[in-house]
Order: sequence, then structure tokens, then C-alpha cells
Amino acid sequence: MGKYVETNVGIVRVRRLRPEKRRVLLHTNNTRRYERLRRSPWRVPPFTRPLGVPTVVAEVTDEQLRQIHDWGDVEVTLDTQFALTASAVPSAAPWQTKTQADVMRHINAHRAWTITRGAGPVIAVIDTGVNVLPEFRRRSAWSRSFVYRSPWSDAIGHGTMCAAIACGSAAHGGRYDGVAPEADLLSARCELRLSEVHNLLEHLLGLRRDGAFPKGLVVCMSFGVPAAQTAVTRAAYPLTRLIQAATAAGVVFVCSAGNYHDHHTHTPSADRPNSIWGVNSLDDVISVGAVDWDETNQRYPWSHAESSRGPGEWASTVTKPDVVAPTYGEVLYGRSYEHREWWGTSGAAPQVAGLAALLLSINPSFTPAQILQITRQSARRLNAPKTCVGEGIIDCEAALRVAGVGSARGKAVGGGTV
Amino acid sequence: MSTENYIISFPSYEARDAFCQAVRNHPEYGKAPLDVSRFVPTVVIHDVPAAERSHLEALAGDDASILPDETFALHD
Repeated sequence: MGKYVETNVGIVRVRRLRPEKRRVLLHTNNTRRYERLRRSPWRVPPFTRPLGVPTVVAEVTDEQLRQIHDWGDVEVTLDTQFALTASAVPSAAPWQTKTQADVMRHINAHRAWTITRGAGPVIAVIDTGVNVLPEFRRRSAWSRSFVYRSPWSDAIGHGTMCAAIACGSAAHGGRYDGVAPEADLLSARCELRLSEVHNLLEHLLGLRRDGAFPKGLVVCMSFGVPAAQTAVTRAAYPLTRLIQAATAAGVVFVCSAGNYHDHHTHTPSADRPNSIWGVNSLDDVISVGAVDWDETNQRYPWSHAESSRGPGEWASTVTKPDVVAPTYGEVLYGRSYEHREWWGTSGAAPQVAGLAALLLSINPSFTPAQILQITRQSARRLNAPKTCVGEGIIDCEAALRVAGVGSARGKAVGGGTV
Repeated sequence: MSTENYIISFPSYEARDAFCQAVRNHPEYGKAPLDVSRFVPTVVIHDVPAAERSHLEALAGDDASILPDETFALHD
């Protein structure tokens, strides 16, 4: 339709402009009116069958809108676009196509496996339990729960995730290898209460003192307190004393740094304020933060920016976190594999627990201080503040090299050759 | 009646043992379960009526540190 008119640039066709339409929601309690609106040509075809609400979505001109107002029995709401509460996530985010196997390659675990797969030491996961799955065939008889009938069950799934990352085994039927796939797994199941953790540590330390774990014991704790410890001092805190006593007995402790760098109150890129609290920040433990696939934790909107910042509430000689580990992609959670943007710092600590088991498997006499030093020394430096990433991202192959295995034997650690 | 668990740290084993003895002799919560640490001067006392905390503090002494049980948060 249209007509032709002569202009100074020749004869052109002029089309009549269609009146602009608005999208509206029309709501009426008049049944007959609703039926008429439903059959109206104004109506936008719905996505679903009618759900019983007498509302239709329509596109109408201003003139038609005035007509609707004149009816007097239809409520009109102009369509509006809601604002997203978070920045849009790219449709093909890297974590959606990656898996735990990529994370293992990221930290050079696959290269370390040509030297050791972690046979000998025990990794104790103090957590929500571990489900009995084929990848956990090397289960320690010292596993324990004080509140549940069995340590080998996990209604939440968190402990199973940590165990799979630390020492899951593809050879035994898992989808992926953990960092130390031949290490033994000890499930210390609890409801994460201070009293329970206290008693579980007491249990483990007692076993250690009685001669259990001759090839070494690594304790992985992927939980913590969400705020500063104002009610108690470091020295008086009961877990501090037990961790120090256990460390003196040769037990290696690995703790997640926490996910408390709050997007809402702090700049995601900021390297402060401190948000590593309580025993997770002790000098005696290896405190582990998380980074993404690009090895950063200062980039919004990725959750990795939540990785807690140092220097650590109770740290006195070093800045926390000690190191970081990458967490992204498909991972075992509970009984199923899920793709996750990140695994929290919960998923970072078990990687270091696995690394500690690899080190102990080649030398069970390594002290916790030596394991800490090797882990820090062998980490690959990142271009970020130490309060965000510590000494850098862990490297299993480099750690074995620093420990004296591989191409660079006998590098000095802790003042002597190991 | 609401009850609470407490974790109490003492400056010495002697102080801890004296406290445990006092609890055992106490008519109100003498049967409260006690988890006595083998390795540090600490004790976990279970199921203490919430109103009894001040009494517990008096029994433990000024040098003891009394913490009510708390639940940790997962870091996932």
C-alpha cells in the first residue's frame, strides 16, 4: 500500500506508517469481556495454556487503549522490562564446558602422576560425610562419626565433592581422578559443630599418637566461621590448641580460606579487608583460596571474587591465603556430577590436601612445616596481591621437583635438603 | 528446657580436672556428658541448661575460656 509523490529527488513511494503499538497486560473480572479479549486480534499468543488468571497480553495502539479505558471494566498495565539484579552471565561460560579433569591438568597433577599417585598417606575429610561410590574404594577403617550411624553417607553432598577432588579414582570407577587418586580416604562425618570437630580432631590425634597413619595424615577442612572471632583469643580457642598439638605430631592441616569477600559491601577487585578468620588463618594450617580458569579472583561477576582476602585474622608470620587453586567445571556433588561455575574455596582446599598426600607418598617423614613450605615455594606466581592469591597457584609437578623428585632433585627446603 | 553445649579451655590440666570434679559433684548438671581431651586442657560439656551458663563460668574460673557450641559454615 502507499502512494507515489514527486519530490526534488524524483518520484518516491510513500508508505503509510503503521501506528505505534504498546504491549500491555489486560486484566478483567468480567467473564464475557475476558472471552472477547482472548479471541481479540490484539492478543499476543501465549507461551502456555491459560492458567485460570483472567489476564491477556496484547499489543494495542493509543486509540485502542482509549477504547479499552472507555469500557471501564479492564485494568491496563503497561509492560515493563525488569532489570537484572546481577550482570548477565555469558551464554557459553568456560566453566560450562570444563571438568575436574581440566582442573587436574591446570595444576599439573597429571604430570605428577607419572611419579606418584599418592599411595600410602590418609586424607581425612572432616565434612558432611562421603557417599559410598566406586571412586572411593580406598576407605580408611578409622573413619568416624559421633552423631551419625555411619560416616559413609552424605545427605548434603559437600563432603563427597571434597573427597572426589582430593582422592577420587577413575581407575576404580569414578569419572575423574582426584589429585591423589591412590591415597586412602578417611571420612570424619559431622554436622559441623565446634564440639564435634573438636572431638573428631581428638579422635584423629589419638590414633596418630597410637601409631596409626604411618605414611602420614592430611586433614582437610572446607568450612569455617563467617566473621571475626571477637569472643575468644587465638591461644584460648579450643581448636587452635588441638591443631597445634596435631601439627606437632606430624598431621598436616589444609583449610579453605572462605568465601567471604562480599560483593555487596566490598569491591570485587579489592585485595582487602581481611576475611580469613579463625583457625583457617593459623600459621600452622595451609590456607587455600580459589581462582577461576583465567587464574584470577578479582573479576566480577564470577563467584571467584568471593574468595576470602588475607592477611588472616590469626596469622602471625605469613600472609594468608598461602596459595590458591582453580575451581570450575563439572564435579561430583553428592551422587551426581554437576557443572558449577566454582566449587568455592571448599573445592580448592582438597586439591592442596591431595598435593600434601602426593608429597607424603614420596617422603612420609615430611613435617607439616615442610609440606607448607614446599607448597608455597612451588606455587606459580600470579600477578595479583598476596592477600588475594598468596604465593600463587599450586603446581603439583613443581612441588615434587622442589621436594627432590623429578628433574631437579635435592632442592633445599626448610634449611636442609629433603 | 533449652540446653547448650560448651567448649571450655583451661590454662592447665589441673584447673580442667578440678572443674570436671566440681561438675560431677553438682546436683543440677552432675550427669551432663563430659568429653575430656587427652591432649589439651579442654573439655566439652553437653546439655547444660541455658540459664546455667553463669554458674558454669563461676565453676570454671576467670582464667578459663567458655565458648558455646557454634556451627561452622561450608565454604562451597
